[in-house]
Amino acid sequence: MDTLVEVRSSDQSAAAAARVAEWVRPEEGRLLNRIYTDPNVFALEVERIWKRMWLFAGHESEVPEPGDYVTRTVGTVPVVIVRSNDGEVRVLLNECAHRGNLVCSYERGSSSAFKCAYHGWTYANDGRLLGIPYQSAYGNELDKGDWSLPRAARVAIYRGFVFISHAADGPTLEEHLGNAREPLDRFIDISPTGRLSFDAGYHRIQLASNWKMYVENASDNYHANFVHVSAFSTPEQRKISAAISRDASKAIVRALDNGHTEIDFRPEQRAQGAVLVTGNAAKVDSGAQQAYMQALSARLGDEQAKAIVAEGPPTLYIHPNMFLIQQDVRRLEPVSAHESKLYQHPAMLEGAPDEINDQRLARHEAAYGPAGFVLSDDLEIFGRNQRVVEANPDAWLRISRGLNRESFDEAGARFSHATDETGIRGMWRHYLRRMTEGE
Amino acid sequence: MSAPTVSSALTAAAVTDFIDVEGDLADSHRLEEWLALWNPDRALYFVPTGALTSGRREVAIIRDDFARMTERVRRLRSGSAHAQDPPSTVTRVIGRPRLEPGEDGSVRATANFVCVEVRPDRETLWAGKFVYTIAAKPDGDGLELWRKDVYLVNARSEIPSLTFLI
Repeated sequence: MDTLVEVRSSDQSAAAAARVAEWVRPEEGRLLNRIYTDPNVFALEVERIWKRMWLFAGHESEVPEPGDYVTRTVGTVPVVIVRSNDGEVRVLLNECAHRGNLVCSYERGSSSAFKCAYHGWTYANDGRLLGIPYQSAYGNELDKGDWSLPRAARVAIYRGFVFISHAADGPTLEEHLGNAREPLDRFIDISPTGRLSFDAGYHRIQLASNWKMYVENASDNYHANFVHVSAFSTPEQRKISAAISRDASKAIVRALDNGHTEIDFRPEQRAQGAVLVTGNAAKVDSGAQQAYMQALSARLGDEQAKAIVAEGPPTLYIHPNMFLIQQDVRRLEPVSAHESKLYQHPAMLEGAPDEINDQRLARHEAAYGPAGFVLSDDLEIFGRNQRVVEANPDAWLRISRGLNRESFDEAGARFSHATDETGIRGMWRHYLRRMTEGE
Repeated sequence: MSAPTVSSALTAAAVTDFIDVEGDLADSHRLEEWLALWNPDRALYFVPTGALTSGRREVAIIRDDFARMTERVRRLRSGSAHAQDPPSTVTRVIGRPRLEPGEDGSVRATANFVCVEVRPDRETLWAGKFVYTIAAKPDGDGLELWRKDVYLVNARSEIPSLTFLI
């Protein structure tokens, strides 16, 4: 019976993979709407993306002290990110080894042990099984070492960012990050200590759309002057945004390794000699700003410190669920083909004067979160888009913008004008490879 | 319960009326009149996340001083704030406010609320507690709003966009 189920399930996967290959046509610049609506495709995404790839889970600063934990769902699996008593950050599955019940139902806290509410099984905060009520009923079968709380198959921490994979085998995190590591470093290096802090909480948002709609938006600079025109409060802001999108703009979008993308405003900034992207720490000429620059220079040297602040942070997407923009780090969680969840963490700069971090938080709150002047309009647009693809699943939509003017840089990365769909196609190429792997 | 009367204008009845007017202006998107209720030097419109952070800061859903709430109104009036185009249809019921003395001669009024928002693709039930800080205008001519804190019962859950004035 087990074998039958497996065969059938693998047939279903193969059938879904064949549909994906038919529906995702990056080279032709088109996609079938069903890629955002089909439940079998969603099931295959869980199998081949969310259960296989490296996923962004959180930041070690969320659990600063031994015993501190946070719970959340990562790649459809409830987990506990905990700093165990030995000081190590671990990612345990929030899933009792007995019958799979939650062992922790609080969002955050501090505890040396987790106790399942169903039958009282108790685990240390490193996952070791401490005790089973009335354990003689297990006779000799009981080996506490084997009955630990399950763990995420792999955990890797990169400069404070906690990634997990639910697959025991696969590329290392560094292989997965590939050439997205350089912009990721640029995002972190704005901190005077080289460390970010996730100690200011985060926004929790419902997306009435397929997760991939949000992903595509991350490398879509084309929408900025239409969806976000109301967020530009001054003529100067409108002018800057118009300059980035104009035909002669040098701002580019780059398709990085493994489906990652970056919108790179720096070439246009250099050409204009102006800062186009906020979210760098520098905004005011104040004592706090000077103290911040001194601290940054002490670590990086004057020249690099000035450059990193002048150039601002990258607009970076790390496939499949991590987004870095301005002062924000975002985590995406799929729910179904029709629904997703988004978490927006304002990243504070460890060791920076309070005023600098207050500014970062204020910029985040103005633009992002459910009531932010930027994100709220994105949410509306995604919701409308999902309604239409659901209503008309057999229509094709276009992702061909810029197919006629792409180039490759010295490192071999495909890039094009910032308003082009080069990043979107790069993501889909990677998606197609992963979803049809082994077929 | 009678209001702690600091100024002759700041009676329990006047505070309750003021709260009703504020809610009605918000429901009916009379944004400029809503803005005119505030004392610009004191204004704080605050919707926390209740994020239980380990740090000194806690990201808020809304943390508007007068400049930012003016900006919020400008944006909503711009004709291109898609999340309110078309505007949500909103109706709220505000419970009986409990009054207590606030700082600097103000009154603090706490009231539970339930609010239904209808958009073309969804209906959302919002609920929680409003805490208003209301004072008599310096010239004695009516009341003004210093602060409005909105404690949503679902502030720590995933929520859709919140772009009408709650």
